[in-house]
Amino acid sequence: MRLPPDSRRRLELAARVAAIALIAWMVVRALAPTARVEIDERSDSRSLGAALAQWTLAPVPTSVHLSLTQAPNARDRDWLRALGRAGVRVTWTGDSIAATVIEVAARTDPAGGVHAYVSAPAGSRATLSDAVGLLDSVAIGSGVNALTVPIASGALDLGARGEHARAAPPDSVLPRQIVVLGQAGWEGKFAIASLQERGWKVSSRLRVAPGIFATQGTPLPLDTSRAGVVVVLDTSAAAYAGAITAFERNGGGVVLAGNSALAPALRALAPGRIGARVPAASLSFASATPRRALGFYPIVSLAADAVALESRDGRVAAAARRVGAGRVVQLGYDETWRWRLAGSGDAPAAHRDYWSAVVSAAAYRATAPTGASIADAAPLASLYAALGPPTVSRAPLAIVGARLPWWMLALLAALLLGEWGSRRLRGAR
Amino acid sequence: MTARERVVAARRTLGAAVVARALLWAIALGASLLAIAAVLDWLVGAPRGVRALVLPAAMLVAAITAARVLWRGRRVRSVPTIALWLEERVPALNYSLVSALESPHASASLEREVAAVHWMPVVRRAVGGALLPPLALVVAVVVLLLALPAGVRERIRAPRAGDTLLRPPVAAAALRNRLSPLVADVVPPPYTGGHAVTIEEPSSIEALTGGRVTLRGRGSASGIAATMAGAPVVVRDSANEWRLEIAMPVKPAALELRDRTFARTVVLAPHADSLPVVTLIAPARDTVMRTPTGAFALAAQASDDYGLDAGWFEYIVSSGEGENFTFRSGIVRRASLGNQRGAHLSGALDLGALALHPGDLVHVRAVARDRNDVTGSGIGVSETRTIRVPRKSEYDSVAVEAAPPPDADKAQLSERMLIMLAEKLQQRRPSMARANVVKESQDIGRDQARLRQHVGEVIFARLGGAPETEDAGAANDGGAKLTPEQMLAAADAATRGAGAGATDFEGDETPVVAVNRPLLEAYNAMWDASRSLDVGEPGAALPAMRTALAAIQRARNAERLYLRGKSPVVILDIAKVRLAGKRDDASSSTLQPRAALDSSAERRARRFDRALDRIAADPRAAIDSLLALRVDALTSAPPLAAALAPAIDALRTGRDATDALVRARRVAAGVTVEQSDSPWGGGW
Amino acid sequence: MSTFTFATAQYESGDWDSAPLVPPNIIDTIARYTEIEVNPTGAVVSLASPDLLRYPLVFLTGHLPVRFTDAERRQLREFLDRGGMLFVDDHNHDIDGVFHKTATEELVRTIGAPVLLPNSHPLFSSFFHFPDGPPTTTQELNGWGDNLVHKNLFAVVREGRIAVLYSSKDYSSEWGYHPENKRFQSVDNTRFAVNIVVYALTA
Repeated sequence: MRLPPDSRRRLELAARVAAIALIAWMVVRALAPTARVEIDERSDSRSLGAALAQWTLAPVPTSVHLSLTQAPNARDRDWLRALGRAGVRVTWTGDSIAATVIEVAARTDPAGGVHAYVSAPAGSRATLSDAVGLLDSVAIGSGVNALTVPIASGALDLGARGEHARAAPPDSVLPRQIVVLGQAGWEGKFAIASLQERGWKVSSRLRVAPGIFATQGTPLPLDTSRAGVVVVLDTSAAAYAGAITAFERNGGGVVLAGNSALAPALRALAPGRIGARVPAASLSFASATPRRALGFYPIVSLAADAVALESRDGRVAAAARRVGAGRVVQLGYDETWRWRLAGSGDAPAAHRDYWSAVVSAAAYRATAPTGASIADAAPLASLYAALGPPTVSRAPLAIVGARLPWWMLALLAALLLGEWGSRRLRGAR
Repeated sequence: MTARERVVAARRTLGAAVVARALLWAIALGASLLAIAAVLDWLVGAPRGVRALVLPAAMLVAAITAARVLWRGRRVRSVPTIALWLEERVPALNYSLVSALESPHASASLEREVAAVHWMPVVRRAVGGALLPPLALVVAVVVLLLALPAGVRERIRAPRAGDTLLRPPVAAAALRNRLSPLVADVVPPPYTGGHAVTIEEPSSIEALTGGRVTLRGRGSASGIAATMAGAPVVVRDSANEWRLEIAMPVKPAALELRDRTFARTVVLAPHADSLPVVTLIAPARDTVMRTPTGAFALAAQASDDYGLDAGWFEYIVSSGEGENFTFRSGIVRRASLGNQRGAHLSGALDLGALALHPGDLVHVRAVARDRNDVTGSGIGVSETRTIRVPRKSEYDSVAVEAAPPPDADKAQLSERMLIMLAEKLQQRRPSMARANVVKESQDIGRDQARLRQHVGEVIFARLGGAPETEDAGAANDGGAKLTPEQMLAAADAATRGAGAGATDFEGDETPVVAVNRPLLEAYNAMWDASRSLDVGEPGAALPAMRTALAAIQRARNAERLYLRGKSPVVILDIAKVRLAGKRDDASSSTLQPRAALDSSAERRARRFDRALDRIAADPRAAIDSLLALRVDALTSAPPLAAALAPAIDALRTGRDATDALVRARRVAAGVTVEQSDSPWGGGW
Repeated sequence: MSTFTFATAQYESGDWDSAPLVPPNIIDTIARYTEIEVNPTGAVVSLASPDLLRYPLVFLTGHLPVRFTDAERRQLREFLDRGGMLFVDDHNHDIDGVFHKTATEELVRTIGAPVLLPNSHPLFSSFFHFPDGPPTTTQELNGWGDNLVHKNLFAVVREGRIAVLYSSKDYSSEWGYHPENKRFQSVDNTRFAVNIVVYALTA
């Protein structure tokens, strides 16, 4: 149906006015978008990097929601936190993100190295790598998962189910000497031998007869500047109880082995009292649980702050506690030398490792953290700390980066084209 | 000549041409294949396996070619075909030849017509045209083959180990790396009788200590330096090669080669000649002889990894008592063993000639020597057997010395106790609940199992249960060692057949099984008893337990008894004498610290990491570093040495070495995993 | 605290029990001079038995040839590898004699050749002082054996520690008497045994 010429011209004018108004409105919106408009954005892990850059440019969104499949790295987390502080409401969900944690502690061991305490979803397979490459993999158990890495280069990286946690090993700690006090006997001889073979510096004073000792190094006076741990083998060292107590309160470590805690002066330090001696539970030193073939003094009536380190058949064989600035480890075994001599497999090496672990547990350790810039020890936890817990966003779906809806441009084009086309068709310019 | 005769003559000529053509083409194509293979091998270097196939392939090609040509020329046998062929090429014949051949009686005019045409030039031209191309090809290929360097031809003609040096280098002399290719000829020491082995491009050479190792390379020796363990090694010229000769050292070492800017390391991994393994078969056990007369048969089995030189029996006669002893020793039946790897020694000890007296003791053992003339003869010895002549006073004596009870005795006491417990349980059974009977029976069963294990350990220890000792028997030594499974089988066999009375070995039982027969019977009986006890049937277990006790009793009777006077018993009162002695000249002592063990592990791990760092920038230097590390690890950390070998090989041959390097790093770094429920973070 | 038990090695080939009074005499000596907890009765342990590993110091003596069985050699090697100490005394005190030759050969096969122990070794000052080295025994010049005074002991040393102590001085005869008879001596001739035991327990 052909329109009358006047109506047609009016329509053309209306279209032109509408187009101009639309352009003006778009200009106004582009220049001052935030004042009254709610802009909700979304992103996922893959496009997070690009999205962050975009969200930081004007117009800044009112709220952003992240659907994450991987925990963002430290840089992206900080960026999100900054957005939040700038007034953007940041929410996120990430049900499939695996929680991975790694903590690296210096090993108080003459051989150096580190302990890496790792956590990931129980049952998952995690890999540990350093700057050079893959070190090992471990099936994550439900308890403490500790990896001992004698030599590591650079930061350690824990990978599990696509997540990576990184931590830098602290500066190495030079362990101080160990002092062994007690009666001359096989336990002293082989405990000292194992510690020295393991690389520890050991001084000792072993009583042979009244006034006659077999001495090695400079065991006395006990001084935390020279010694890290005192190992008390038996009650004969009760004469040094005062010095041992002072040493411990100043930060030194004490290992009370065998029945040494029977000495009244040392009882106050011990994590527990000594019970009646329990004989060996096994005739042979099985590789898996060799110490079952040793008799021991069970530790009973544990102090409230004591921690049981080793139990056997419901009895505590080793316990530890902190007293003052130091640590005390109480060991119920008094004949570990039998394990070294008669144990199966490489029992001497296992005995060395065991005694090294005992003194390490008591020894004072100073740490100097390094590599903070590359550390990201617990990415998921850090995400929680930065953005709070995950929440479901109520924001409607919107295209990231689309400031002006497409229909607006289409309408503009239609108005302009329609007006121009109509004029041309009727012969006007 | 008639027309037919002339055609037949032409046929002969053409037939010979076909055969000659077949031969020429066969030679041409076969030789071409050889030439192409030789040129390709010269340019890119083909593996020996591929080169070994070239000659047979060339022959096959020649045969196929010849067959094809002959097949295509088969029609030359037909006279009419030849006639047609001639008609086609000699128009002057004007079909008269065929007509002359077809008609049974050729007319004289046809014959005259045919006789007037001379077709041999045509035939000759055809023959020339057929033979010339293959002939030309043959000549060209032969020229090419002759032009190739002799080494190239040799590599195709007779491929063999070490012929890599025959391949002439492609690069200019000034740029040539004379350290690659490298060939090692390893000749074991002559006494082993082994054959020489040639290794191409060795990164590691394993050989017997004292073997001769010759390394060869292309080019002159001038400018090539070689060192081993810091000491220089002489490099000589030999024809177009350089070579050096060394003796395989006793310990692993790295041979460093240097040619201007090129360097190469070869690991020398020696293994030592083992000592001979000797097993004394007779006498099978220690013996007590009341009247030492006659000849005591001696027998032994000896074996060696490379060959035995001699074997003999040694004896020592000890006479006397108390503090007064005299000794005599001697050798019986020394035999030359002629480099055999296994030999049986036999002899007899003439007891009469030894003039033994009551109280004398004779120790006998077998000895064998190998032929190692490099590091010195290795001498292997067997276990020693003792022949004792008791004194008259000892014949009926019951004064058994308070020696520690043999392990069998402890078992006897325990088995008696278990029998008593089982008998008591059986008596109380009617008044007990079934569950309690089962529980108590199982408790006794557990003790029975422990006792059985103890008896098993006694037998196992006696039978030399652990492997790899210096003088332990080899696998073929006559059964001196038994695995637990074999022991069980022996126990099973011991309880069949003769059974209770026998303590001497029978039939073809090995002597060591025979000696322990009663204990093996006891072991098996204890198994039966355990089974009944575990199901709560102490009554059913009792007969087996009594059998076991009787067997232990027999074992005890079969043991050697020291029939001497009883030792005085000294009772000490420690408390009374404690610190009663004077200690005026006693004083405190100062002890020396022990050295740490295995601090080299960390050094090795760091060396490994440094070598890894070099791989991207300088792969050859990285390989040399890993080789040197492997040398170090061969003695100090064999697992690391074993893990490094595949990584080095992969790097050298350009393959992906990632997996191998990761494995090696794990071994070097020694990560351990501990999992516990302890909250104490002290590295427990 | 574990008790020190003096252990005597029983081996198959010879008269391992030729000095039955030595163990109680040494036990008595240890109690007289030290506070070491000592078992009043010694032990006899077979060289081939795993029980050898229960006694870190073992005494071996005899007159007759020493020929270890494979099991004895293997067990002894493990014992020494793990830190045990063997004290061997030639009851013949004859370096040309069969015990010395055969025992030395067996030690070479098992662990290595004994070498001369210098008289300045800490063994000789571990409790009592013996500045001239091992005390001479009255057996050495009694006309028996090689009739020589052996001024040194021999030892196989591992990582700075004595693993095998070898004596040709016939301490087995010297110390082979009832401890009650010590009261008749002006100087207790068993004092060197204290050094050996204290060295074994502390070094």
